[in-house]
Amino acid sequence: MVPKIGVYICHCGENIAGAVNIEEVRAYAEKLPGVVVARNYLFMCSDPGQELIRQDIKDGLVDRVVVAACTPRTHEPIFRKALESAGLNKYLLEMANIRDQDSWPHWHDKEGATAKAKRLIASAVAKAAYLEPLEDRYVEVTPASLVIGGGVAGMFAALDLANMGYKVYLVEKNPSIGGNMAKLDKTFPTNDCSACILTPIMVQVGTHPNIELLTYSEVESVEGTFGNFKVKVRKKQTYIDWDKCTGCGDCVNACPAKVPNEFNEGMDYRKAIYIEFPQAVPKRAVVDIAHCLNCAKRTIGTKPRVHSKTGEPILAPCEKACKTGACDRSREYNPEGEILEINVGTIIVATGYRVMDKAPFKEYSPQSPNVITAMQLERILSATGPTGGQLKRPSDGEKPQTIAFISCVGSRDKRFHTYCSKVCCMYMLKEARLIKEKYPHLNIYIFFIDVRTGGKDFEEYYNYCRDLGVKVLRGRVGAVDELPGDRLRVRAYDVDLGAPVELEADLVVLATAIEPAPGLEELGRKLGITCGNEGFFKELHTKLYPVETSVKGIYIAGCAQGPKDIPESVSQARAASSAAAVPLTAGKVVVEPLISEVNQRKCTGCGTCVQLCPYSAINLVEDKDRRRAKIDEALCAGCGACAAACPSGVITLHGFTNAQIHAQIKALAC
Amino acid sequence: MKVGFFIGCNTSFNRPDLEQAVRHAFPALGIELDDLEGQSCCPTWGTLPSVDVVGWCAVSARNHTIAEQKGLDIVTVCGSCYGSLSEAKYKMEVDPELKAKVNEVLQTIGREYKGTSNVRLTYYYLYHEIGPEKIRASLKYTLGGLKVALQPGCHTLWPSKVYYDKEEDPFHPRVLKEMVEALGATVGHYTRLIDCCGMGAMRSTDMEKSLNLFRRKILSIKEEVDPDLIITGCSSCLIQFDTAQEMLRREKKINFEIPVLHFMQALAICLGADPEKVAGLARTNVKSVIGKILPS
Repeated sequence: MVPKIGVYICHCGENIAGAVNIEEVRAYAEKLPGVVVARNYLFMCSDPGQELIRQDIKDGLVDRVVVAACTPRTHEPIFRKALESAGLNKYLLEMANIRDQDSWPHWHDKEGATAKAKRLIASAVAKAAYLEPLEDRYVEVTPASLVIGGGVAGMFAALDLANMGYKVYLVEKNPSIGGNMAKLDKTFPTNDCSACILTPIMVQVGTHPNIELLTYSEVESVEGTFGNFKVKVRKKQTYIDWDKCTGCGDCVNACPAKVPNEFNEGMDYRKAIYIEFPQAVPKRAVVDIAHCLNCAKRTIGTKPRVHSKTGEPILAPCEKACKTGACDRSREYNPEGEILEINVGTIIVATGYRVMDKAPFKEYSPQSPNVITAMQLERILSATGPTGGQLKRPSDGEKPQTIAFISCVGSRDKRFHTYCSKVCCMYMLKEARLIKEKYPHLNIYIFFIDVRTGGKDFEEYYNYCRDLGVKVLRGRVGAVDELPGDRLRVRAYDVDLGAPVELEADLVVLATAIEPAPGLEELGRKLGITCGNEGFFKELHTKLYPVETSVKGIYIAGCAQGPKDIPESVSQARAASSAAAVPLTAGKVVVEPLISEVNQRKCTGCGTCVQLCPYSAINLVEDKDRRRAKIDEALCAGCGACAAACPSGVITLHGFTNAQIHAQIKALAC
Repeated sequence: MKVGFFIGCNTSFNRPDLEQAVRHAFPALGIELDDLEGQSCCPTWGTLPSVDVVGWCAVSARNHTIAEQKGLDIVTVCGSCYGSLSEAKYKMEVDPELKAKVNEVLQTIGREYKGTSNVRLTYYYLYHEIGPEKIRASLKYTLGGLKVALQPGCHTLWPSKVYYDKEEDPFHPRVLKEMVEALGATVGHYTRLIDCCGMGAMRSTDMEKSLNLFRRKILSIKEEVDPDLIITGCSSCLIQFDTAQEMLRREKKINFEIPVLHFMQALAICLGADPEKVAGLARTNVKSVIGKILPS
């Protein structure tokens, strides 16, 4: 039976029609072999546009559909539905992307764009003639979810899913959940104390019956597909029996080693055996083996020496202090930790961010202890910080009289990051306000390039700070010089005055940029999701699918996707949890039939495909007296490597058969 | 060891004594100077570099080709020449299209720019090729007992990516300090070390702003170091420091004078050169300092 192909060309408003002569292309398409009708419409994806296609199918006019429009990435599902609702198999659709691949890049070459549109459509039509109806498959979904990252975004995503009744595994690389928010003092725009709003959530997460907390753990590998991911998680070695540890802190008090404290941004010391912070969840001790002094020669995994006189075993101070036996240095030395295998239907990635260090900014005298990052000031202001919430400058513990804030340090700077870190304007104003409210006589200057306070109640917050007497100067700071007496000279260009300005300060605070968390790209590789230029995870579509990724069943939330404040992170986390719950609720998910199939009768059993398959989906099986390749439909992802490589040409990739691809290429070459 | 000497216009016309200092010191340390016969203006900032990138790079590349043909590196005492020659070389390195355009221009005079010669500032060259220890050992006289403030010069530091010889941290330059210490002086730190001296395009277009910058800098030197001598790494800085003090005194904006020498002048004197020959055109009272260097 000769196929009856309909071609539907979209103007995409001006997006395509602005560069491509639609009528000329339509008239050309109409004459292509197999084409029975060619139509055009302003927005083919709108209801009237889809109705054109549906009506032609219902009238029996067409039985193959070519849509020349935008990207199949977002719009193929829409047009497939249109075919389905008109009673045609939805895989009898082919798209020609004449927007992203034609009108946009060739915007200034109208003739060339029109000619290219013709070729792309001819190619799609040639393939359409060979399209075959295919049937969807369904697979059962594992009713559980994995959340990676235990900051505020990850915790809310986990809680939402757990409250819906699904099992949730929450993986966090640090010993405690809480993330960066646990380090903050107060939070804009309402100035509520971060700990007061965060710690109850941490407790809820820690005690929820549906949440399995895997802290001090990292994702090792991810296999499987949408609905059935198999994830290996490495529980890092703590060298403490967490089942016995009560978090009393006796071992910490006994430990003599001093290590810069990450939680206080390196401004004081923790011990080698430590509890991350006082409100940690779970509150458990961890041995930092790299800094452990092995007191009493008690290297992990060795038997204690025996006292020559008393006959008692000689123990390390941490062991001696532990009342529950959780700290036992005779335990096996195993730096690898433990690998857990978990099965989940969906995954949410909420791995957060880190703030840049001050070291790269040599123009701002990073060697001075009184030049600090805003995150360090956050710890100084916090009651749980190194100064117990007292405003003291690091060099001598004196209260600073003049404080200068510098914005956009590493952000909006082509040397480091071109993007805006988005939260700095507001947190600088917040820190300035907290200090000014406590000590009204202090001089506080903030150097901005622009003040960006878009957001609910933010502009009012900014005006309030100005009324309080926080001095706002517009202009880049060029240098911070160290002066005698631990003072600092800030030199800037004031664009409102049109002149250089200078001031002397006791404390300089750098609003250093928000960066992707370390290892984000590697995690992306494990998950199969991509990072954008700036290094954050890329969403499927900025506006329409902001929490979805290019891998079905994997969602993103919080600063893993880009800089954002707490309200936004939480909103996105809750959006991601809803999206991740949909397949769990449905219980089964559609798997596209665009996968490979072996013609077993003709297979020679050479095994070439077995080696090539990146998903380990092909095995050689004994069939009568010969070995033949067999593809596991559940594992095949439809990449086509096997079909391209098969020396006998007996592997078919449905939706991309040799006949289809050859026809497509031949049409392009004309 | 041989190197091409790019003298620079300011040195030739304003401070030929500085040229003489180089011509004494380099051979004294065993380095032969080639005159790079036919060298022209670098061209300096505020001229071609401000209006015509290809023109700038073509004039610069022509100067480079003279050294390239002889297989020599280029040394200069002038921050402007150093900056302009280095930056043009860098621009052509990262932009092959620009290099091709420049070579089209050079073809008309039968030359081709390859980019094989490096541009070096005299004290960086001596630091890396001879080393402070050897220099210390070659001295006849030293700056022992003298307190010195430094002026490295903006164009000798920035943009740091274009230079062959790099400071580890251009915000805290160390090389000139080590070299002056090798001459025996005590170097005092002041907080406006890397400030602009006000020379160059600013002095050409707005003398008042130029002098304001200079005054802020010289006051910082006076208050924080109060040195016997200022040593510059750049001939343009030398001219500004040597003449602007007098102007400020006339306007009663300062009431002191600090003698100023370029590093190469101080080195030449310590290597036994005739001070009249290598520093005779100084307007500040360098004689008083030279009196302390040479045995009476």
